[in-house]
Amino acid sequence: MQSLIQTTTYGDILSLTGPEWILVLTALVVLAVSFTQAKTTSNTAGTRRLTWISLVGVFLAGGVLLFNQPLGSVKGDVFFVSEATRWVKLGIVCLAGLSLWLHLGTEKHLPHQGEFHALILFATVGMLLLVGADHLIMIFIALELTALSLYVLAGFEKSKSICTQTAFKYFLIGGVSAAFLLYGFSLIYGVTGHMQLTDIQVNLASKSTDPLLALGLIMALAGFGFKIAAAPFHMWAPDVYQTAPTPVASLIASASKVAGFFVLGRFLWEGFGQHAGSIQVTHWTSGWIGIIGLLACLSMVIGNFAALKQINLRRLLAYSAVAHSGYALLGIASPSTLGPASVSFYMMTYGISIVGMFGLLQILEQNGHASDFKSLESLRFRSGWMTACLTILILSMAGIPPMVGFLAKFNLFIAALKGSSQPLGLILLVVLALGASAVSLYYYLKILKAAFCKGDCDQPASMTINAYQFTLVSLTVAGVLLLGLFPEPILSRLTNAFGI
Amino acid sequence: MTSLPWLSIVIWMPLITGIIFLFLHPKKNLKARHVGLGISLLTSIISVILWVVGRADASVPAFEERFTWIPTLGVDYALSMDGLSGLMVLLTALIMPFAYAASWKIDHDEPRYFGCLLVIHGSLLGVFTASNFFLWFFFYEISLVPAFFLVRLWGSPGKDRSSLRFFVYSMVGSIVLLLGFLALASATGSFEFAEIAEQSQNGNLANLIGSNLGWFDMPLGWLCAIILGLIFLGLAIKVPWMPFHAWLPDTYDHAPSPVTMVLTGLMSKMGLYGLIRMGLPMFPYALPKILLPLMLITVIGIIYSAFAAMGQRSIKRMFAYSSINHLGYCMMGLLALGVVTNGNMNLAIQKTSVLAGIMLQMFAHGIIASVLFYFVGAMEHRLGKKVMIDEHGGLRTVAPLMAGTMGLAVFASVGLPGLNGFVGEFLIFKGVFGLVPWAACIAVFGLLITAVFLLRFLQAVFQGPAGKSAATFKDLSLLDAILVSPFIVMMVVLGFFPHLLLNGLNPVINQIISAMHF
Amino acid sequence: MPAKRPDLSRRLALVGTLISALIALVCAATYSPVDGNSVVDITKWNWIPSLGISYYLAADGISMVMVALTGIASVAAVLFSWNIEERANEFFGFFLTLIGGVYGVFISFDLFLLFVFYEIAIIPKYFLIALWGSTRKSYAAMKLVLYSFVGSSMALIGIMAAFVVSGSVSFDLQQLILHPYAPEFQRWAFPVTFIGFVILAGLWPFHTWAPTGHVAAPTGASMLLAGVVMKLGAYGALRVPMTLFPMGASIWREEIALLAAIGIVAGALVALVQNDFKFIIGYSSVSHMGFVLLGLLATTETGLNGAVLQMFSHGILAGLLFAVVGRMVYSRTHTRDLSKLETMQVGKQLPFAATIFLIAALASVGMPGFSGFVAELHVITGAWSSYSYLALMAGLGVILGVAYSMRALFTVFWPSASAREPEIGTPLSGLTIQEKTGAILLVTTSLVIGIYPRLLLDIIAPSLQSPLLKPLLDQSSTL
Repeated sequence: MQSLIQTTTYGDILSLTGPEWILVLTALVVLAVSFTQAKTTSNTAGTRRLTWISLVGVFLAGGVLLFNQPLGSVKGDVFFVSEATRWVKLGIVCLAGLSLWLHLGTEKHLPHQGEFHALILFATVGMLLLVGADHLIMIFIALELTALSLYVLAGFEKSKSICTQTAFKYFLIGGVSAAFLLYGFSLIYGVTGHMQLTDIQVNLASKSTDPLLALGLIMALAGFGFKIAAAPFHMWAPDVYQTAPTPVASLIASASKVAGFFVLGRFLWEGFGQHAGSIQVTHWTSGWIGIIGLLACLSMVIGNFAALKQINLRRLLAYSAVAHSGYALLGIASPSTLGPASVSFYMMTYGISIVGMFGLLQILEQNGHASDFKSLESLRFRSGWMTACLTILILSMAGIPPMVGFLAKFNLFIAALKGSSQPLGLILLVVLALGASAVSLYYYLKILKAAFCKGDCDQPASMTINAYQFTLVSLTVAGVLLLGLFPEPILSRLTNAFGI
Repeated sequence: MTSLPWLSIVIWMPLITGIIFLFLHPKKNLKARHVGLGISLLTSIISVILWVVGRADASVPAFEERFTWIPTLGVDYALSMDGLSGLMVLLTALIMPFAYAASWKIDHDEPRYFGCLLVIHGSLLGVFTASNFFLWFFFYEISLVPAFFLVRLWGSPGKDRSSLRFFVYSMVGSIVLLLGFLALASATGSFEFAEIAEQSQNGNLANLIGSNLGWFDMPLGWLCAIILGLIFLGLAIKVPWMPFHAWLPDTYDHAPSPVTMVLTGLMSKMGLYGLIRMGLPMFPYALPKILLPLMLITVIGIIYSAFAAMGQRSIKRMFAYSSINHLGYCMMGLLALGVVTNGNMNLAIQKTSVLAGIMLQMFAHGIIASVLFYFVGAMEHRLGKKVMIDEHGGLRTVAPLMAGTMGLAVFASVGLPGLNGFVGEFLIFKGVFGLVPWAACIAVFGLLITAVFLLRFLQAVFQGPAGKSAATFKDLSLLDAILVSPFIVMMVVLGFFPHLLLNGLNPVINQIISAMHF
Repeated sequence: MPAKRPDLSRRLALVGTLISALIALVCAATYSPVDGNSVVDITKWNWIPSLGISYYLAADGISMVMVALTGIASVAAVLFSWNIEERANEFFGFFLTLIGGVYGVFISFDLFLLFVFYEIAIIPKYFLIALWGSTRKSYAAMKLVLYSFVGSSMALIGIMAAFVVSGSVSFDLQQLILHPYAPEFQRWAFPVTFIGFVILAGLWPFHTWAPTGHVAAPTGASMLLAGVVMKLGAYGALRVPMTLFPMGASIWREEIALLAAIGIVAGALVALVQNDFKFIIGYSSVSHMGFVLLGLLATTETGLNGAVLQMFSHGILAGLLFAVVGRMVYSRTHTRDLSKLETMQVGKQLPFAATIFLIAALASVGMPGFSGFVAELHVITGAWSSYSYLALMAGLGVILGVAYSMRALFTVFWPSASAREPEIGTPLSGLTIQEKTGAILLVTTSLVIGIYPRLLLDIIAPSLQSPLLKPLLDQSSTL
């Protein structure tokens, strides 16, 4: 469609990184506006104004992505833009927008809203950069940008000690994994002498397997694993999901995962494709696919079984997120070209449903309930609309047709089974994934059961739902349903984009 | 005769009427039984006419009907009437209205009762005229349910257990039979009696079983034996063949007497009919191998049942055991047909006589047993309770007619020459003496003991000093006399002129024996 | 629909099911295969081309029979659910969704679509049992759904594998069958897919969800679950693994057929010792489904004819039995314990129910004149030519069937005089017109098919000759 730009000028760089710039500018605008509203930033109207501004920025960025984004790579191939990144970034931007919309629905506000919005925008910028990164340093910078913003955002509710505790824990674990990542990268540089992913691959083609390289890879994977909340690097997730402000939790759960998976896929395949090895049933060679497979197994098992025991819904969602990361790792492990496309589709659609879930939780909390099973009781009678939305979102996460969650999972499995020298390579992993899904069905149904069954019909103290929450949740539900029934437009575009 | 489907008419007319009756409200339909009687009589009259017509040219099965029913199983709706079927149709025609009339005074739920009787009537006719197993089984099973209910709902105390036992034994027997026959059908691809018999005579049957039924490497003989065993067992329970007779005495005892008439007169014949129709033509070669043990058991059964009859106090039970005994002779004869003849014409003639004897005995026993149980019912009715052998005496003085006619029937049962019971037994024994002498010798004792207990019965009940019941005991009423007299006459006439029946039977007998002649 | 007006929901549900039933029956009656291709297309639309999925609805003879069954059974089930008062609108909502999913499975010829409908049918089952059920409803509902989900996941593996191995072209069944699958592939693909489907059909020993689930479910749901949804599994097994992997079928036939036969006998034995009326029927369903599976695995024409016929027959009769136990008896007596029912003189107070149960029991045992007899005959005849010893086991199962049916019949409806002490309780209310209509509808269907089975067999038999099933039958005849 558009010609590739090989950048030489700042103008070119600007045009390639258009969306990122727009978001940065928006953040600055927001900060400025918030300073002028110094006294009134804690009240709702002012906050909402800020959020609207942020949303405008997000919207513009999305527009640029959709319509006007040129393709190409920045000098030194540090940063690149392709069809695939376009779509993934679009997804991230949409999810970020939805998370911001969640914020619109919040009734009670914390101070320092300007910083809040700016940080969200910066985190998003970080994610976009992450997606486009093609160079180890770039990856690290983008990752840190996102991570630091998210650490602060997670602990934004300074008044509650548990929030700060969690944020601190998040920061510590995150810091450690960043260190791992950096150390891994340095080892890789040491072995290959390059930092750009394609250069690394070229370099490795002529080399034999080096134990130092393996060590580097493993350490890098540990770092990435933290980002995508794969077991056993997932410890931070339950606490953060539980205590972070809702928009933040939603952002972490949706957009940052999308970015994390995309970059993981690129890192592994672009950089170290020939060291992939294989774990197919009859054809076992050593390589990083084995590690990915192991991570996938651990995530699926630990995530689902831990979720079984939870009574707090946010923690349950966190553990189920771990499990979903496990499923997505199957797509990473798949040697076919369909793999990365299916992973992105999966995480994006999962992101939509998770945002919707957080929206529902927000409504629950703002009506004075805690986010646990008890407050779901007799939801059927307090708000039929909420129950319906809950049902659709939960069933989508459980992977029941005709919701999109099923299709995305199906796509993932097909990708895993497809395209390699041995057909049906990763069949055992698929079997495990299906088994894990069965386990997950148990706790998902428990949620629905609580909403439908318990409680008596005689005290329907109905829920107050404001317009923003209503629109948000309805949007996500509509998205889940429509994408489930008519996935073709998006799916085909995504698949084609990655196929190039 | 015109081309109306006469057999279907006689079957379905009472069947459908009977089913309708089952749904009628008891209080509001007191006239129902008259209608039912009319239907029953009409059916019987038509049946008799059919028998007469069929007899005229007995070498060809008459009144054939065929209609494609379930092609995927190879099953047609096919009826026909040959000599043997005709005989049984005649028997049915005679006994059913008799039993119907004998039930006139039933005390509750009349339409349902008569409905059951009518359904049995229709299904019996179906059983005896079916040309293939599917249809045979169809009617056979249908007859079980009303029989069960007749015992259960109108019987005397103790009926719950005995009716259930009857039902369970019968069902088990029929399922076992079904299993065996399905094996045959699976092997040959057909349910038709004629087709399977033909395969058997060609010697093909064994091969078909071997090739079509997969059972690892079991020797062919074993497989055939199992299938034969299933079929034999299934039918044997119905006959009943000792040691599977346990259901009979209780059932006969607790059923209302008219029902017992039907049970002993007709339904027990279904088993024997099945053995003749299915067992003999299809497994002639297998019979010699299992002959000895089965014959031994049969003979023991004959003796045992006779002794058991002698030991009964209730005369209903006595007659029940006597039935087992008489049917035992038929079984003995049937098994004797399995003796290898090796082309010996003499033995073939013996076999012919045995088979003729069996058929005649079936008819004779049907008539005699019905009459006897009718009388038992009459006695019960007058005495108001079960008849025990030692409680009465000298009834001859107050009821001479009854004594006379019942005595005649008893003598027919003993086998007095000149009455129809003799011919059948004689032919059977004559043949068996020639084929399996030792069996005949032992079985004669059975005859002896039968004579003993039957005469003892006569003596105890009718002769001798008058017991306390004699005072109020009434003699035969006009109705009784009308009902009983045709049968008494038949007993005498058929005793002297058995060829009235035999003429129609000969072609069938010859056909079967020629297959058994090896 | 407003929750406070149950009659509105009921009527609408009845109208809906009646209309679909009528359409179904009319289609079945007018179904006439064109030129030896027994599959008749209904609609086809390219749904997700990037995955080779199309929205493809079509029907062959077997589908039509199952669709007819669904029609009749669903109408009867709605009639027997007339007494649901609480949250009736939701009840019928879930009910109709379930029925819709079931219809969908039977007429999908794109395997992805088939699977989608199969899964859609799972969730309503959970709610129907968990909200309106009885004994241990939460546990039963969860168990049923999890077993169903695991089974369907196993089937999904097979479907996906077939798709990938055949080149990831299409999920259309008629396309997939064109690819020759390697014997080693079929060796594992067949049992995985087959077992996956027949878990839902109640294959021993994966059947334990069925009695628990069916007993816990409300009557209308039990009728559908035991009557139609279990058949989804058997139908799926015939449609997918037996069609796609005939070689695999011939390798594994004998072992799975043995399991089916064990199920027949084991189900009957367990039914014999039950003291809960509904559990007897629940286990008898397992036993009867064993017949279906035995017929399927005999893979002769007779056997397959019998299997489909038994699917139909048992669908009707199971519905009838559950209707009597659940609706006619339990909702009035509020107990299912046999020893308690013995004292309640149920037979005297509900003569219609007694008669219907008698007919249903006899029919399911295999009394000639009803559909069960013809079906069982086909199955056993088919079994004889494949596995004679299994035919004997099936016969044993029939005998045991007589035993437990009679035991139930007599203990509840006609207890012997000694056990009968009239209980001083409230007299039982008479049967409603809906119950009578539903019962008569089901009895008549069974009777009609029993007397003239060609109504169904004429549709089924040609489908067995179609290119879809021919490889399967050829496999068995070369043995």
